[in-house]
Amino acid sequence: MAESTAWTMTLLASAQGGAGMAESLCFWVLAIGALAGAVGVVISKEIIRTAMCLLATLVAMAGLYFLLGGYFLGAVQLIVYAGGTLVLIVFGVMLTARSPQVSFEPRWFEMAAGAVICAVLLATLLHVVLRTTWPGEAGDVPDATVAAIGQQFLGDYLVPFEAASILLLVVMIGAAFLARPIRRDRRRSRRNV
Amino acid sequence: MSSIWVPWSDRRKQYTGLRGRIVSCAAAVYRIGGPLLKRFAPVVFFGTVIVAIAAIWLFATLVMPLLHKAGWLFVVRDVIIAVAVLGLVTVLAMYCIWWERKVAGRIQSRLGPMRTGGWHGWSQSLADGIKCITKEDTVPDDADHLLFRLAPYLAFVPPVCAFMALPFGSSWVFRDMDLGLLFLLSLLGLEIIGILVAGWASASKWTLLGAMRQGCQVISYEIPMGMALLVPIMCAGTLRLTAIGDMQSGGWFTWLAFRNPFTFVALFVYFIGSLASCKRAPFDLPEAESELVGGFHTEYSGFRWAVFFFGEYAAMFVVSGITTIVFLGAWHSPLPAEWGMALGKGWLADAARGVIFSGPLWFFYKCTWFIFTHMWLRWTLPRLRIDQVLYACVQVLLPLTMVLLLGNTVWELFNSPAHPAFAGFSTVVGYLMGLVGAVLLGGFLVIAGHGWWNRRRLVGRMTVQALPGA
Repeated sequence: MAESTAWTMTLLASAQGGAGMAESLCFWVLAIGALAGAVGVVISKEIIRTAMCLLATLVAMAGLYFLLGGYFLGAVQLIVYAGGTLVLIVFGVMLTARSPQVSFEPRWFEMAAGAVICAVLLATLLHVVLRTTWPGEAGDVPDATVAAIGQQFLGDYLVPFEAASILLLVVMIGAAFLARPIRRDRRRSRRNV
Repeated sequence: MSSIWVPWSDRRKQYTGLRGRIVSCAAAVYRIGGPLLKRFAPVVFFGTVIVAIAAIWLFATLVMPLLHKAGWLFVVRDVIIAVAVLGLVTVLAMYCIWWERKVAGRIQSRLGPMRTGGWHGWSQSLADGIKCITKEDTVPDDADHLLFRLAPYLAFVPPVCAFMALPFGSSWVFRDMDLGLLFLLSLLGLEIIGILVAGWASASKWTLLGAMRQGCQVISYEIPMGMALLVPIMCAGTLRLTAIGDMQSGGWFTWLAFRNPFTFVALFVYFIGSLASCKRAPFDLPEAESELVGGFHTEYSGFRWAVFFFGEYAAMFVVSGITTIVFLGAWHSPLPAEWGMALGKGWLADAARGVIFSGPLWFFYKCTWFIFTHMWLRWTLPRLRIDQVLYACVQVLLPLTMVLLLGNTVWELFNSPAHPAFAGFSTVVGYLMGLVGAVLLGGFLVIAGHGWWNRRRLVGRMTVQALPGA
């Protein structure tokens, strides 16, 4: 038993060099993947390719969360954005597109408006990033976060949580209302009566 | 002249120079080595196993300290495990495909693959794999080439990544996460993107229809599946898969499926949902052969086509693993694990405990049992229509899971020491549920055994005489 504990300790100690390099390698791969995906979203003209580039960005972001130890955030990112929203986008495109290859051809004022918005956003973000004093060292990340998050949701942040759930309920009812079957025969008969 | 058919044997390409020498060398090696390999196959097999074990031992004693000094131990370990998982998934999928063909054959009064490799065609999948690799890799002209090539990997990678957090035993897990179950669900939810993209990028009506059906089906069944999983999770109080598994170490009656009536029903709801999410019959609409040619993979050939099936079988194993861990006692046998303490100490007692009471073997048995059930259902039930599939999900399973969730909440609220009368009642009901489960399992075994013992009658006398091993 003592031997195995000592072995574990040395294992942990050996994690510094190689694991650190592997970690930075992972970071660079994921960061470049996220940026390349984001550029691809803007550049590509076919809507499905845009969606795939978005997938690359979302998955790489989830990978970055995992790398940072934010497992819950990473998993939720995968479920909600990659597995839910993106699938809905792709699915919607399939249902609504008339030709198999839909392509974007933006007009000049659309491009100009987009460029202005992006420039303002970039300036704001750069301003914030450069002005903030970042903490020098990262703190320890707790391993077990799910229970804590759940207790926060149903404890200190109960009202925002319930408000969000009511919002989602409204959205669901709206969707069901829009998608309801229209029974024309009954309406006509009512009118006739 | 060119219109005259030339036999394939005469069309063989003639190589010259260095290439010719390489080809003749390879042919000579095959001529000499092939029969030798065939003659000494058991020696080669066991020799390979012994060499592999020796190589692992040498690696552990010689290379690992060096790596440890250089600080690369964890990285190398992770790479090795990733490759091992990939190998496990591939071999698993290969043998599941072979097994599925055998089961299908038996159910349809055939023998299934019998020739390749000798004993019951055991290497049929291997031969099929080689065939798939050597086949022409076709891409339709109108297809979106990049996405067409990408799609199989999008469908294959998420289920393989899921093995990273899937525990085979309480310490047999690569990464034991606090949110293991959520992580697995998030990866299984990504698999569908590959199929949607495959259907879209092929630029064919059949593939698109298959992909749309898959999208409808998987998105709708994710909701009852997730909510059915919440029911036992509410009893367990954690998402950590190893913790959920070790809660159920007390034998058959402590398994979460038999905790109360709601978890018992949730097991079946989740099982139906998992059939739908793995696009297994009766929910195999995305690849309905008789309607859509091949569904979403109509345009695929060769290895890309095979990759879809690797992904499907990997997902089947992961889903069966989740069912096993969350509902059916994970890696514990029906006997209480405490009884294993009577075996004493020593490696022999440990091994016996691993085989009899709890260990990865039991997890593997249960998963393969679920996969067998998937196969049995696939070759027995007819395919549903898409409106029936969605009706079953939205109007039957979804309200049912809501009832289960609410009922389980109330049950667990009162199932506490503060309410001794209800807690006692709950215990009795739990044992009753366990008995019902045992009866169901017994019925399953009786029916399966009936089919097995009467298999010769099914196969027919002539076949049995021609193939005595059948």
